[in-house]
Amino acid sequence: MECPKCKSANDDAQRFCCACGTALGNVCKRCGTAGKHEAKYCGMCGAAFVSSSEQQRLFTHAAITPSHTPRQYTAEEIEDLLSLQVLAHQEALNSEQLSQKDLDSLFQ
Amino acid sequence: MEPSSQRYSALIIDDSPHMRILMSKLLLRNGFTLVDVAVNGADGLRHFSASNPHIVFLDAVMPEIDGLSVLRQIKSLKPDTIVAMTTSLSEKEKVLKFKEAGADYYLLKPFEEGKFMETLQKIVAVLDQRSKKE
Repeated sequence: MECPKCKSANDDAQRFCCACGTALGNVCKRCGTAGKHEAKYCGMCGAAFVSSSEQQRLFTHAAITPSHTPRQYTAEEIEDLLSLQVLAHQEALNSEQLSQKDLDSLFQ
Repeated sequence: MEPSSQRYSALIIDDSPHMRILMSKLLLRNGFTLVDVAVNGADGLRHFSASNPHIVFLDAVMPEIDGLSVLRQIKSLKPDTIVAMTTSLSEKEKVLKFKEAGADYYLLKPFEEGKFMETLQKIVAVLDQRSKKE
């Protein structure tokens, strides 16, 4: 059987790839147990298996789709963000808790 | 406390019976003879119009009409009324709103008797000075 990750050839009886250790065949999403190709549910916990084709799709998707795409900001957007930061700072200052001493000097 | 406190009237507006009793006792113990109490903002405004007190001890968080609205109405009806806020609100943003609306003093709950007395003495001194000028 071909490893979905590194494409190495493995014996059909193997549960894991001899080259990279990836689970071959079905893999339980819940407990991680590798099962036979024909099995639909995990013999350990009863959860549905992820097929090797699904694993392959996930690996490919992960390889070509970065989890976070950096965003480009325009000068205007940066200015807006900086002014928002100033406002947030002012709000934080205003939400400051005052003591009786502070209040006495404020209400002199 | 100077005996002049007998000449001045006070109104306590607070929805807490405990606070009303506590402040009334402290005022009476210190020479005040004219002490009125109101149980919420709306009641407070009714009592204010009826008794026209020199001093108002005003809670900020109350049902019906909140302390800030009551303060604004009192100050628009009779600006020289001395209003002492008695509240547990201590956020600067909120406190500044009371300051802008004309609050004269701000007592943070729970306050000690000594702190209340200190504020009361300051208020009586201000009222005494006003009567000398008149």
